[in-house]
Amino acid sequence: MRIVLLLPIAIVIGLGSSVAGVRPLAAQGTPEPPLARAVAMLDATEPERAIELLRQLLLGLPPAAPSALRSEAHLRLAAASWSLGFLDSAAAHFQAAVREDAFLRLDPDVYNPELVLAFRASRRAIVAVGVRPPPDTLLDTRTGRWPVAVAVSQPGQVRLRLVPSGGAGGERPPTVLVVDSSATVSFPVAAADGVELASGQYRLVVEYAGSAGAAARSEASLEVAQSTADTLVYEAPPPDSLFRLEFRWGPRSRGTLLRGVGVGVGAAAIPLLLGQNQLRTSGTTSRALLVGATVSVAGLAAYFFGRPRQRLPENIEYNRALRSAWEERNRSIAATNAARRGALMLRVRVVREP
Amino acid sequence: MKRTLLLTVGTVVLLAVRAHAQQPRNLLGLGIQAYDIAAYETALPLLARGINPAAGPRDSLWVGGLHRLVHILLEQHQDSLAAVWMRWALRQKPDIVVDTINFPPAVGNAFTLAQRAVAGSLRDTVTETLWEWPSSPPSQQSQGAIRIESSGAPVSTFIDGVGTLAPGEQRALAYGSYRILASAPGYARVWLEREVLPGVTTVLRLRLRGPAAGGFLYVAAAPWGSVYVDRQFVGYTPLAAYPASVGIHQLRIERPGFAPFDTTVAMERDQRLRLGTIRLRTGPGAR
Repeated sequence: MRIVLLLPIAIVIGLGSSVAGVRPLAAQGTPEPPLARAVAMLDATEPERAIELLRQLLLGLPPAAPSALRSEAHLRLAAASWSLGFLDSAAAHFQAAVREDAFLRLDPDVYNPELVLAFRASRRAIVAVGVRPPPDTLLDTRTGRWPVAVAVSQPGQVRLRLVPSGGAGGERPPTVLVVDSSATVSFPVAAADGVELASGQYRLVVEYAGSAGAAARSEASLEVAQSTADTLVYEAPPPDSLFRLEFRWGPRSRGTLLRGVGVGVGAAAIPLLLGQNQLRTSGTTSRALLVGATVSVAGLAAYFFGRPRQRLPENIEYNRALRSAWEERNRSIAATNAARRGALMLRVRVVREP
Repeated sequence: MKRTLLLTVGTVVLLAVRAHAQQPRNLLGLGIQAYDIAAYETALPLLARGINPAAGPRDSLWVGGLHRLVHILLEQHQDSLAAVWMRWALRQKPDIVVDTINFPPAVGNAFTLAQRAVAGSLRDTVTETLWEWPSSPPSQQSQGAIRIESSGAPVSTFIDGVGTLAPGEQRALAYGSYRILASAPGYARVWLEREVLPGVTTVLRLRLRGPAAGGFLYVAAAPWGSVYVDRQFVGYTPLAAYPASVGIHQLRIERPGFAPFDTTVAMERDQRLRLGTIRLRTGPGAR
């Protein structure tokens, strides 16, 4: 398929330098975040302007700016630099992105193979370690394990220590493990001797030691406090839609109809045939016929509306199992709640991200 | 028997002593002599030094020395190193005819594999490759090195699996074949493959194709795709500042699983032609 140019694709023709048009960030004052505008410029194949904007963004970021934003900006800058042939600059920005976020990986579906290769090589060329504790966790003081994710740019030994800050008790023995790229460590909350973690402020210190003497460090501040666990809410009964019909209507019975009509005919005929003719009046005849007709109509109604109910044992069993499972779950919740009311918990909260 | 042994040992010692005072080209001859009397340990360093292409023509002596070097390495179970030497040699002299009469089938098979590996990358006109041979015989396990030299354009290079390399910087590397990307702003980037030999410094002198009398092409696509200009692969999207000559060019973007995108672009002098972002579609024609 060949499509002649100048049709639906967005083509912008620029003569000369396209970088010159970028004003300083402070003078722009637009509500749109600079990173989003840089991405839009990259989409519009204006990498030179995007690079300028991203450089300004990084220069203007305050020290407390989120590392995710810095990492993203460096990553975009690296990709734009690479496309323009500034390979050294691209490698430097890839490394800066990894330093900001050691967990950073490039998705091969999103980034082209050259960028993925360059990113991997840049990542391996530096030493970076990152730690990601869960932001807010409630753990059992005796059996709870605290999951912490660790990422390194090169394979090496990682040492995790929980250091009290501000006299919160003694330092726990470190956890040491070899990490190839990333790993999740489960810290036991209780020490090996059964001593529980005291409430207070802690620092989670992650130290990396590589094969060639390379070292890196990252840390996070934590707040540990005793807490009680919230009880669980009881489960609502299963909705009616989940239950199956326990019986069904059987077919109409011709016998019922015949019996009804027969009894009606009998009710009319017996007084007429067997009654004394001398005592009969026109009133008694019509009453006998009325009784017979009424009984017959009742039989007819019984035929139409009086279908027999047939039980469905499989459905009855299914519904019983459904009810039993719900009751069992609620019994389990009740037991858990009873245990929770009696157990002490530790709340571990990240105060400051690394 | 004893006399033959003494004669062989004497010859080997003589070869080793003579080797110190020889030119590389003569070392090749001495290495062949040592190989012919099965003195492989003596022959290997002589051949590895004597095969230096700067020492003489790539003639039958050079090809014979290569065969013997490869055979010794295969005998020593250094197949990967033998393959590197063969790929290196085939890039110098693509028309090497394998001697299947005087050498065992393993040598022929290894040559065939090496020929397949270097096929398609023989006609490279953007680089001049040189080798700096060490003055003393290197161990076949020692590291080699690579260095990039460029003139004019501010070239930056990236070695797959290693990282970027600044012009003039020498990087020590284990022996092997390396994919190298050379790029400069406004120049067509190029992927090369070169061998690093034990103890030898591979020097790449780059001559990138400069901005011809034309303009620059920018292409972005989502998801990324391979870009072909006039049926020649020029890189992946996002492609930026690709130098294109004045005139009409066929542009194609391909990505497995998506329908190829084809268009025609008309480039004018000093123009910066920007196509973006082209959305590749799945569906009919997707591969």
